[in-house]
Order: sequence, then C-alpha cells, then structure tokens
Amino acid sequence: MDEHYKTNFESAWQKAFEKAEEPPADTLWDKLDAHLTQERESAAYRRKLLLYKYIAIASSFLVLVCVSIIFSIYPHQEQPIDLAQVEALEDNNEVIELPTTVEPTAREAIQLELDQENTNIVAVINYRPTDIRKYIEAKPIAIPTKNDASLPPDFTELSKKEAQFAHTPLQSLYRSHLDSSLLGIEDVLAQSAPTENNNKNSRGIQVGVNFAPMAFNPNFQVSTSNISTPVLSNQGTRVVDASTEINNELENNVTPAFSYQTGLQIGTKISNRVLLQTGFTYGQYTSAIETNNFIYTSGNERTPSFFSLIDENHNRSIQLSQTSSNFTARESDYTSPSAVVYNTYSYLGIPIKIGYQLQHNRWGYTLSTGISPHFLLRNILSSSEANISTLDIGTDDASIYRNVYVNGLLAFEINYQLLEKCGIAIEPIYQQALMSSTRNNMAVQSTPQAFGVNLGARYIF
Amino acid sequence: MVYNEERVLKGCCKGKSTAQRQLYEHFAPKMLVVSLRYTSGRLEAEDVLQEAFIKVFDKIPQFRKECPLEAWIKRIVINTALKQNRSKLYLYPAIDIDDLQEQKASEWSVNQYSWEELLAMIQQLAPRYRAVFNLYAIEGYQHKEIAEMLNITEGTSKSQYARAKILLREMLQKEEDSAYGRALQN
Repeated sequence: MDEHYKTNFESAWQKAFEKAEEPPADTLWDKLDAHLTQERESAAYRRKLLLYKYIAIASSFLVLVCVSIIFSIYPHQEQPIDLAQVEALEDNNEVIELPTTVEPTAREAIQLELDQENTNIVAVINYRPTDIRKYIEAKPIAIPTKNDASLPPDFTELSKKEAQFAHTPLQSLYRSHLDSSLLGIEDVLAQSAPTENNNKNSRGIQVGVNFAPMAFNPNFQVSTSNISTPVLSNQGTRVVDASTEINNELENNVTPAFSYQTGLQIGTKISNRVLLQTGFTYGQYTSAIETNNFIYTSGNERTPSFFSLIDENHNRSIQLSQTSSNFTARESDYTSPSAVVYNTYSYLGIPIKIGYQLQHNRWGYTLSTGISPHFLLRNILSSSEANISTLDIGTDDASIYRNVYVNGLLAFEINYQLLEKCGIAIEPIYQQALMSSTRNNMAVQSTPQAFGVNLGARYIF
Repeated sequence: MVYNEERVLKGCCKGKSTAQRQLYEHFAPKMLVVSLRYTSGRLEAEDVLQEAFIKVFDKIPQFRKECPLEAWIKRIVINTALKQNRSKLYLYPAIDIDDLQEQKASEWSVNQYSWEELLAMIQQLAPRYRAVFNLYAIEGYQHKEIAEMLNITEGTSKSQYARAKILLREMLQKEEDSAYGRALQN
C-alpha cells in the first residue's frame, strides 16, 4: 500500500468518526475535579514551601552578612596585656617576651625598641594599639604641667594627648628613643583611642532607620488582545473588542500616587571606603489608573474591564449577563464616566547594597548599588467610587504575581554626623525591577520602577 | 457560557477550576470517542479519559500552539490509551504480511454505518490490531510512525493493519448478511 496515499477506505473511516461525540458520565468530572483540587492544594503547599525556602535563604544570607560584619570588626579576641610583664621590664631590666598570642600585623603592630639607660637591653614587643591604650589607661594619669620635672625635656612641645602618653615610663622611653621608622604617637593614639575623628572612619556597625516617600510606576506591558465585553441578556451576545483601549489604559493611563517605603538598615565598612549594607524594608507602592472601560455586573455596580487581566476570577465577570433595566447596547453605557482606580502593592524587601563612601569632616557621601528581593504581601485595587468594588489579590494560586521578584538598586546617601555616634541622612534611591513581578505566561507583565528619597537616622556602634 | 479558547487556556495555565471545567466540557465528548476506539469498553475508556485530562491540565502551560489544541489533547488521549494497553499490545503475535490477502478498498464501503456501529466493530478487534488500525486508518499516521510509537517494526505494523482490515471486513460482511436476512424476513 502506498504510505502517502490513504484510500477511500481510510477516508471513509475518518469521516465516520470526524464529528463523533459521546458525553462522558457526569461523575467523571467530579472524580477529575477531586484529583485536580488535590493537585492544586499540594501545588499551593509546594509554592508556600518554596516561599519559606526563599525567606530562609535570604535570612541565612542576612545572618551571614551580619556575622561577617561582626567578625570583620573584631577579628581577634581581645588579648589583655600582661602589665606585670611590662613592669618587669622596668623593674628588672630584663628582656621580656610579650604574649605571642598577639599577632603582629603590618597595620596594627607597634614595634617599640626599648633601650634601658645603662644595660643595653633591647626588647622588641609586638602588640596592638588597643593593648597600649589599656596599658596607658591602667596607669594613674595626671595631667602634666610645664613645670613637672619628671617629664622629658621636650615635653613642652607635646600636645595634651602626647603628654598623657608620655607620662608613663614606658612611653617616656618610647618618646626619647623613637625611631623614625616607627609609628608616631599620634598614630598610636589615633588607632588606640576612639576619638571624635576616628568615628568617621570607624569600622563599627552602622544601624539606621529610614522613611522614604516614593513615586512608583508598575510599568505594565500587556500582551493579550482578547477582551470581549459585554453580554446582553435581551439582545444576544454582543462582543466588543475593547482590548486595544484597555491595554492602552494599563500601559499609558498610569500615574504615580503617594507611595512610601520604610525600613531598618545595618552596615559596616569592609575596607576604608567600601560600605556593605543590608536590612529590610516594608513598602506600599501605589499608582493611579484612569479607566473608562467597565463591565456592569448588576444594577449600578461596575467593574473596570482591566481587572480581568489582573485577576483571573474577573474573567468571568466579562461574560455576565446585563440585568440592569436601563442598560442598552449603546457603547456609552459601559465606557463612561471614567474613574480612577488606585493600585497598591505591599512588599517586604531585603536590600543588599555595596557602597563607596567619602568623608569630609562631619559629612559623609556614599554612592551605593545592589539588589533587593521583594516579597509580595498584597495587591489591592480600589476606587473612591462606591459602585466599584475593591479587588484584593494575595499570594495564592489566583495571583498573577510572583511571590518574590528582584529589584536593582542605585542610591546616593549624604549623611551628617550630629553627635559622636549619631547622624542623619538623606538618600535619593532608584529601584528598577530586574525581572517581571508577574508570573510567566501572564497576559500582563510588570517591571516596576520606583524613585524616592530616604530620610533617616544613623547610629554607629 | 461562550467558549473562548484563549481565555480558557490562560485560566488552565493558572490552574483555574472554572477554565479547566470549560476545557473539559468542550473536548471530553470528542475525546471519549477517541478513547473508546482504543479500548474495549466504556469503563476503560473513561479511565483513560480521566488520566489523559489530568495530563492535559498538568502539561497545558507547555502547550506552544504549534498545532490546534484539539489535536494536542487527542495526541495525549491516544498516548494514554496506548500506554494503558501496552501490556496487551504484545500478547498477539505478528502475522506475516505475505500470508494475508490484501483486499481492494473499493470492494467494501463503510458509508452506510453509523460511527457507533463502526466503533463496536473496532472494539471487537484485539488490542494490537485495534491500535494499529486506529493509528493508520483514522488518525492518519504512517506505518513508520506507528512502528516508533508502538516499538514494533514497520513490517509488523503493516501486517497488523492488513489483518485488522480482514477482520473488519469479515465483521462488515456478517453485518451485511444479517441485514440482508432481516430484509428478506420483512
């Protein structure tokens, strides 16, 4: 038989079954639906599990960052200096070995060469500025005067801080035999004492609270072109292709409304000028959509047609029969008057930023960039018009939105140090979605953009 | 409710129950007949149909509209039926095509029979003949494709088909004889 030529015989069989239909048993759908419901429930459970997994990963990352920050600030356990050993140097003129557990690093170690008057004993001691400071603080410090005979001859040239340092026997020696290659006293003091100046370069944890008024644009892109409205009960089905107009409303009739973002941030310097920040934000992002396409569901009540694109449940409302007695087929009955619908999203964000910081006296300037996973809490579409009911979309299966999407961040912070540890900050910030906030295959895609100005307070631990 | 395929597809992709029901109600009667052709009874056919629709709703987000939705669903129903009957398909040994006397298709016609009568004849065939006959004569697959689908040789597919035709012809003949007998009695 020719493979590419089906005979009349085959054609006759095909034709016989072409229109054949046999309704299945009524119970079949019930069984199928029960199975599908079970599938849906387990899918919802899996999705929730996935959301918790994302949150757990984000939280773990947050904890990891915080722990890294803490360890980067306090890399070693404080090694208390053994004052007895230091005093032994003075009392017995012996070479002593200071704690070997104190690692001499290039940045932190201070090398002191000690040469006692007649003994030529040299001790090389390595320990950190904080240890030196402890040593200094352990000694009774009297503010020296110019007439103090015990002071080194060049004492009058020392500053008050230097004088405090020089007042102890060990530092007197250090002062009198200071090698030009060693660190200066100012350096020692700067590194050992938390002075006003070194706050600005502190590697401590910086914690801040922020509040930002924002402008938000959901930036909708609509791909569907198949909205039919409305169905008239007394005149049969009337199909009006309003898709172009509705798409246009979502894409072009959107204006920013009052939005805000508030949150807590924590950060630290990972090098002299590089700042790593994280925290969390809670935001309510609102935009206003002007529409004049509606479905009249019953009586005077009407539903904006674009709801059907955002909420699947509203697809059906498009198909509802018009029961209003005064409803006619005239287009004006369902296209006017226009109304404003407020589209509000609530999101929880976990920003992670890296910034470059410059300091000038009490002013600090930080340019930073990063990402922020945004976790959807709610999407509410409401109107001040009483006959438009509110649409509330959560994170369940019916939502067109992803549970989480990622924003890119760009910010520039200017802060001013009011007190030793406190400051205020102003930070223009721009957020741009790096992916659509809606799920794949949805008729509506959304890549939100937001711009705001963070107003905040900072505290340095 | 007006069936709008685009909207139903979108709803099914999102797992909406209403959309799933619409899709089911639109295609189930046609697909039940397909399922009936590959099975030996209604109970079995409905089992296949249920299994097939579960697959349809599971895989519908992957449907890329490269073919009509009906053809895509039909293919799933056929595959489900074949899979369900796979063990039965190998119970019957292949018959050498040379042993069979090919009948000229023009010699016999099925035009005077309803699809229900023809279905009853198909259901009387052994599973393997039934599968090959359905795939070749009604679905329009080539023997090479059928061989791949059923994991048999092309020659086996041809011989199974020829055998199925002979058996169907016998059934048609029998049907004609009894109809003739009934006419004589009247």
